[in-house]
Amino acid sequence: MRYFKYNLVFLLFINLLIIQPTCAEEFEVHITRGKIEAFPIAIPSMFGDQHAQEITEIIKADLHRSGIFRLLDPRAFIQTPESLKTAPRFSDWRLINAKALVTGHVTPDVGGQYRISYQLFDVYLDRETDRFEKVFTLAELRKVAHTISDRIYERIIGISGFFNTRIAYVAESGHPKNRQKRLALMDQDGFNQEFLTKAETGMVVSPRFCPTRPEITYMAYRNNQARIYVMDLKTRQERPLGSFANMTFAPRYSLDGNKLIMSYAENNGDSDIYIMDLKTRQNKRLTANAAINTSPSLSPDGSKVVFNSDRGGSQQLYVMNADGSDQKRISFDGVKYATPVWSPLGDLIAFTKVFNGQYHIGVMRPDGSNERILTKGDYMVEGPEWAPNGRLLTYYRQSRRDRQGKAQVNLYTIHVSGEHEQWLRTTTDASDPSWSPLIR
Amino acid sequence: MRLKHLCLLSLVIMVAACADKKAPVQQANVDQPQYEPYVEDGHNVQPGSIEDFRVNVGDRVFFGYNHQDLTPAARETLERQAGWLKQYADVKVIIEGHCDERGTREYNLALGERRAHASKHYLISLGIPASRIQTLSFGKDKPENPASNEEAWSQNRRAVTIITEGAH
Repeated sequence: MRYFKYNLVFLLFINLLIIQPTCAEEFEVHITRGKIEAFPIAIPSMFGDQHAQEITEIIKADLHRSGIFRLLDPRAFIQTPESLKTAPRFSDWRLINAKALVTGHVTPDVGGQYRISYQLFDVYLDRETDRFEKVFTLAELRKVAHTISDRIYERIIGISGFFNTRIAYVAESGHPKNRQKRLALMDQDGFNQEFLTKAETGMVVSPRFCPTRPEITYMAYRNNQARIYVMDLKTRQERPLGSFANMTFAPRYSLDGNKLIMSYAENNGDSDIYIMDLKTRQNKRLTANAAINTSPSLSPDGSKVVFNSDRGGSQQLYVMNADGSDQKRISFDGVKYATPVWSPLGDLIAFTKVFNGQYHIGVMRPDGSNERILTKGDYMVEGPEWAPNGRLLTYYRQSRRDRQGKAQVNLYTIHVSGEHEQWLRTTTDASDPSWSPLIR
Repeated sequence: MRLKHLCLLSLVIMVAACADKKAPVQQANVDQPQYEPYVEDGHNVQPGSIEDFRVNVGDRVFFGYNHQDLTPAARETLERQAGWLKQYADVKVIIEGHCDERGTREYNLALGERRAHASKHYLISLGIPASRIQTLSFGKDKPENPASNEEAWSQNRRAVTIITEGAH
């Protein structure tokens, strides 16, 4: 159910990229290379003390980062805060071309708690379309703000938001010859950063969130072995994933959280893809050839796997059925492709592509058609991972290292249209981001 | 003696011809290659020590971009390593495989593993028991030279044999 009137371009954009990716192909170039028709929204400061202001700023920053909202300049607002307290005067907001208006009150409640009430209005239909009230402690302030951002996003865009989410990543520090790599976790906007492993325990790479449980899988170096581990985020305890004679790496959960797909180094030095049923602990080998087969990712329905292989002589992307049958190459252009990741919506596969000596992040349909490059590295750019709603990607960039080995290693997000790339602030150098599911 | 050398030579050529990981594991039943320790000026290295291995034998071999094939120079180094490891039979090693930074992390982990295995299998073919050799890939995450240039990359594409047991 939608209340908002979209203009034609916005509707086309939604239609093309979100709802019906198979129709209206002739508009693709126009839409993807053109600007997103961002949704104009007015968010005056909520009423109340500095916490009201803080919540307003968090919501504004969230919606801005999504890439599909245009925040109207408060200096253009006509209706005064005093009169807004009573009721919105919709004609005033239509005059400045706002399509939606967000208002809120934050008041002190019992026991040092606060109460927030928020309302979302459709300015053109002159009506309230969402409201929400909650008592919260100050420790929950950011979470409450993100919850409101998610409600606004869902009500207007029609799909789940991604603001009440976290990002796991690898925090890097120290000289590159002896790099310390710790598993780290933060909110999707860079707040509440914490380290989950200690540097002296050993390097951690490629963390991936479980889509259904508070759990992360990753590869780590422990006791001169490189193996996949699983960490329970409630207890912060890690345990090895099964018992393997050789290296296990490149782990990733299925969307239902019941399976884990990964690479295993065979005795001859090649790597093959295995899938583990996490309930029965049974493994099944899916590839068997004299090649590297890695970076597997299951389709959201669990029926297919996209992966990276050099079986044809160069690194390319392949798709197979989840039982290993019908292995087909889907990438043909470019020097090499890597790190394919299936969108949680099923419509696209994101990847890293190298050509002309440069690194790129792109997306293609699962049959390899309609490739679009979203962004290019100044030097390296690698490892796209989807937001749970399939509309944003996060990845990392690394600049060229100087003779002392110094470089910037940073996380970014970008809208799937290729617009609105944003730096994600971290306290250390950061790589290998992975997005959590939406926390309700 | 001459015959033995001929045998050894033919084995080396055979292994060289099929080059790498795909070579079937061959147990060499011949004498080890000659290993003659030398002592650098003013450098007093204890024979059989970790430093002896590193300085007089050579602990690492290098690879071409995106390759895991052993070069003739790499084979020579590994033949010296095999000779030394036969002489000091209590020694156990771990071979670390590494890549340059130009490549994605997971693919490089697999490539580093291939390189470590290329060294391991050649040592096995020269008569070193597999039980004495472990492998570990670091992909692109432990460069020897951290710069982003050709010189650094060529130093980083390597397999390093590290003594873990049986020598000091």
